Parts: sequence; structure tokens; C-alpha cells
Amino acid sequence: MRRHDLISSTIWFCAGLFVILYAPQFDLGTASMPGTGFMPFLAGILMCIFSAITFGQAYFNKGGTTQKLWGNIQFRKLIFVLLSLLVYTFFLDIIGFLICTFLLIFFFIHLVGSEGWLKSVIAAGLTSILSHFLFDTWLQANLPKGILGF
Amino acid sequence: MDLIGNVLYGFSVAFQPINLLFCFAGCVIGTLVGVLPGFGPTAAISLLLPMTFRLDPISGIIMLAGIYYGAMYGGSTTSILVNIPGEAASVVTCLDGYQMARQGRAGPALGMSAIGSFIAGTFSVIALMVVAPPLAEVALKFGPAEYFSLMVLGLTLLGFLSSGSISKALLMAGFGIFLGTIGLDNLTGIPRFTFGSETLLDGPGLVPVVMGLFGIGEILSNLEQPLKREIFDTRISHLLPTVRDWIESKWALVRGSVIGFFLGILPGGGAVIASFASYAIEKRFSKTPEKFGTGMIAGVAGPESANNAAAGGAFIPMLTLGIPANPVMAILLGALIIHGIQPGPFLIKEHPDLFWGVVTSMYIGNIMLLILNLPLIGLWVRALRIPYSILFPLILLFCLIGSYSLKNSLGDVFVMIIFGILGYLMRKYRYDTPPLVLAFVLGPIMEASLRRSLLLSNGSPFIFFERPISAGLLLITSLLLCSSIVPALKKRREKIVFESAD
Repeated sequence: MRRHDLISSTIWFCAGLFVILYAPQFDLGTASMPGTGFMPFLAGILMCIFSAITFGQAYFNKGGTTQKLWGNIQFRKLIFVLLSLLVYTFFLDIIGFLICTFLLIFFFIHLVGSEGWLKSVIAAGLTSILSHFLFDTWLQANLPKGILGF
Repeated sequence: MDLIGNVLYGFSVAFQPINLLFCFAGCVIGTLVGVLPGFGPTAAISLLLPMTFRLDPISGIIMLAGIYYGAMYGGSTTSILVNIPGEAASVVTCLDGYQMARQGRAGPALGMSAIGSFIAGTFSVIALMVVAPPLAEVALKFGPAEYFSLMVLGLTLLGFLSSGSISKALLMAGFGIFLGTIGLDNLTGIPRFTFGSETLLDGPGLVPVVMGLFGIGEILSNLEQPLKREIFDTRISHLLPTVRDWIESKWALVRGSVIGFFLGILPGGGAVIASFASYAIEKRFSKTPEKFGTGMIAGVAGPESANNAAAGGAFIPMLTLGIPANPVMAILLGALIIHGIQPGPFLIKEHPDLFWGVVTSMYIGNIMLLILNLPLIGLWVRALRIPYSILFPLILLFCLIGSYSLKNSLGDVFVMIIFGILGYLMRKYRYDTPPLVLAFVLGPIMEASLRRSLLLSNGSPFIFFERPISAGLLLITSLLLCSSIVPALKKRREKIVFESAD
């Protein structure tokens, strides 16, 4: 965990530093009248302090256990799921909820879940239609209809 | 007399058909969420949160509360039958519950767990009714300085009790406070850290953030490894525990209920710590501690009653002080604020229907859950057989619809996906999510309290130390922080955390 803590705490420290440097643009105000940037500035300081402590603890804890965080992980599945979610979001307004959802669920069940064609088609069809009725018709969520109008 | 009148009024609200329906829905969903491994109550509540915005706030909160305590009931089923905890608070139930199932005693284990949950749940509801109103009266004396100090203590305590490094937990709290400041400043109307994005003008939004962190993050963590599920094939019979079981469990039930309730009130304490504390205490009080882990019914009764009592206790700081004790309460607090209701000392006076309606509905919910979990146990065991390949696309779809339907904005969906990736990475690198969510919800309230305090004191920070309550709270905070440096105390805390993480 030691190496991972060193890397992650450095990233968090940089994030905190960015907040500290950016916050004064919104006016820090005075002690009696704290400005818009005061609280983010304070939060940035907290982030920097605690990421520095985390870094220090990891640096001096040389006898810590070594763990492989990224071993035996199904990266393809993870990346496929994330990309599918992004593509779904991008095309949702254009193609509409029903078709987009059908395709998304089908790909998830068939490709990620490794289920058969028929089971995937039936599950995807039922999910998209039922969720449309539940959210759009019953709960009036105004889901996107797309260029096809449904 | 006043209490009885209020309770009766609460029942008149809770017994309205629509509230009964949503209480039942919450209990069913909660049990299902508890039964299904890899999907916790926090994720479920964040998924269903947008749905409640179209409901009456009382019905919505009754349902969300039902999911929370319902999950505590359901969580034991998988622990006992599959040796996989349905949710974190049932981890310790695996130790003796699964061993009982292997010895052909799954029935009494499930029965004792459901009855114990009912007894503890009922105790915590009654205690909630008694404790909350006077505490709200005390909280009326709180000014902005006391509120600020209380929130600082809450976040520190959460870091202290988190499952890993305190510095990582407090780092997450700092990040959460920063996230809470994104968007328009409530006082000046100036946009902060929005980078020209319209989506960020109102801030990242509670729903996309929690759905991403808990929903998407959890799914990604589960998908990285094939999920193994082997259900112990046993006939579930004789659900009612024997007289001997009762004798062995009676004090475990009492101790579990009391410990659970008080640990539930503490920020960061919650159901998980309560169940571990109860198990450790039962082992210590037992005449045969070496038998724990081999199928002792007290090892099921204690933790199961403790986690249910903690679920009830957690409502106290949220409803009386407006300070959530755990992420679920933070989401409920957010839901109330979105409904235009400010949780805090005035809630009981200004919205008695909500307070007493929700509290009494928990009593009705406990009875519903007893019925759902004893005679219908076979149904929940069948739910365990739903393949994850079908389940995870449905959860993802709920996340997508939930975050989109809030403002019909694709920007919120992107925010959710980003926080999903962040949640996944945080799990990998062992950064706790609860301090982030809690600080994110408390951030704006903290900022307002800090600004008001400094305005009142003309910029003197001594206002936090001059007022006795505020000074006391900050003293406890400092003691907590110092104790994390003292080697002996640090070792002891790490031992507790290590045992709970295992």
C-alpha cells in the first residue's frame, strides 16, 4: 500500500494546492467579513495538510505490506462499462431513451455478463419498456424521446 | 402525557394508507437490498432519492428510512446462508450465523436475527421518541459558533472511527468541504469553481455525487472480479428459537440494543461499529468465549440487535441537530433540504407531522419487517439466486435515470460518471467515502456558521473558545486528534479498525 499511498497523497496534495491558489480569485475577504473564496481556501489547506501527513506516514512506514492493487483485474470489462455509460449519455438525447436503454442493457448482459442472445434480448426489451413506463409514464420523468419520437 | 399525545398523532400520520404503502415499499426494498450482496442501503437510497422528490416529503422519508432499517434485517440472511454479508453491518454475523447453518440450525439463526432485530429496532424507536425532543430543546440554545464546533467534532469523530487511516479520512473531509463550496455562493451569488459550466452553478448535486460514489463505484468494484456466490444448501425449518436459545441470547439482545443505540448516535459510529462492538462484548461476557465462531447464537443475536438499534439511533442527531451521523443520514438530510424542510432543533416544532409520522412509521415498519423476514424467508433466499449479470445493468440504469431525471440534465449524468470513477479509485486506494459525503452535505452549513460566527465576533476566532458549549466540543475534538498521536491509543484504535475491516 506504501507506494500507492505516496502516489495518491501527492495527487491529493496537488489538488489541494490548486484550490489554495485558485480560491483567492473569488476574494478571501477579511477576518470579520470572510469572502467567497475563504471556505474553499480553508478546505484547500486542510487537503494539503492531511495529504502531506498521509505522504509522511507512507514514506516513513517502510515495513508496510506490499499489495498489488491492479493485479487480476478484468480491465476490459471495466473500461467497456465506463465507455458504454459515456456513449449512452452522449446519444441519449439524439436516439431517445427506449432504443438507447435497450442497446445498453443488451450489451451489458450479453457482453459483460456473458449471457446468451435470447436471454439478453428478452431482459433488455423488458427492462427498457418497463423502466419507460415506470419513470416516463408513471413518474413523469420526461425522458428524452430522440429523433424517432419515442 | 405530551409524549403519548405526540405518539398518537404520529400514528395517525403513519397509518394513512399512502404512508403505510410507502413504509411497506421501503421495508421490501430494504430487505432486498440487505439480502443482495454488493449493493448496500446507501446506494439504494441514493438511487431512489430522485423518485421521492415527486412524493409528499413525509411519504418519501418514511420510504427511505424503511430502506435503511430494512437493509439491516435483510443483511443477516446472506451472512447466515451464503457467508457473504449483504451489507457491511452484517459482516460479523457471518462468523457464528454461517456455522449455525452448517450445523443445520439456519432456521433458529435466521429467526433469532429477525426477532433480535425487531426487539432492538423497537427499543431504538422508543428511545428516539424519548431522547429527541429534549435534545432539540437543548439544541435551541446553539448559536452559529456551537454549530460550527459541533460539525468540526462530527467530522473528526468520523475520521477517528473510519475504517482506515485518520489522515486519509480527514483529507476526504477536506475534499468534501471543498466540493460543498462549488457553485453559487449563497451570500454573494458569485459562482465558485464552476469553470463556466451551467451544471456546476448549483454545485455538483447530492444525487449525482452519491449515486456515482456508492452506485457506480460499487458496481465497478464488483465487476473487476468474478462474483462467487455459493448458497449453503440447507432446509430452513424451525425458525422460532428454542427456550435454550432464548436463555443464551437474552442478555446479548439487551446489551446489543443499548450499545447499538448509543453508538448509532455518534457521528461515524453507526451500524457497522455497533455490530463489531456488540460481538466483542458478548465474547468478553461469555463463559465460553472460545466457542465464539463455532455457531454460538449469542454471536448472532448481539450484533444483529446492535445494528438495528444503531439504525434508529442515527436519526437523533439528524432530526434534532441537523447533523447526520452517517452517509445514509446525510442523504436523508439532503432530501429534506431539497423538500424545503430544514432539519434541526426547530424540525419537531415546525413539522411535527414529519417527525412523529416518520418515527412511528419505524415502529410499524419493524412489525412489517418481522413478518417479511420470518414467514417469507424462502422468498428472499430465492432473490439471492438472481445472477449479478442481470442485476448490475439494472442498478446502472437506475443510476443513469436517477441522475438525469433530477433536472433533465445530461451534465448531472457526467458528474455521476466522474464520481463513479472517483468512488472506484477511492475504494482501491482505501480512502473512505463516508467522510467525503458527510463533509459535502455539511460543508455549506459549516461555511454559513463560520461566516456568521466571525461576523458576530468582529473577526475574532476566540468566539469558538469563549462560549462554553463550543469550547467543550472543540476540546473533545482536540483530545480525539491528540489521542490519534499517542502510540498506545493509536495502536488500540488500529486494532479495532483492523478487526472490523477483516
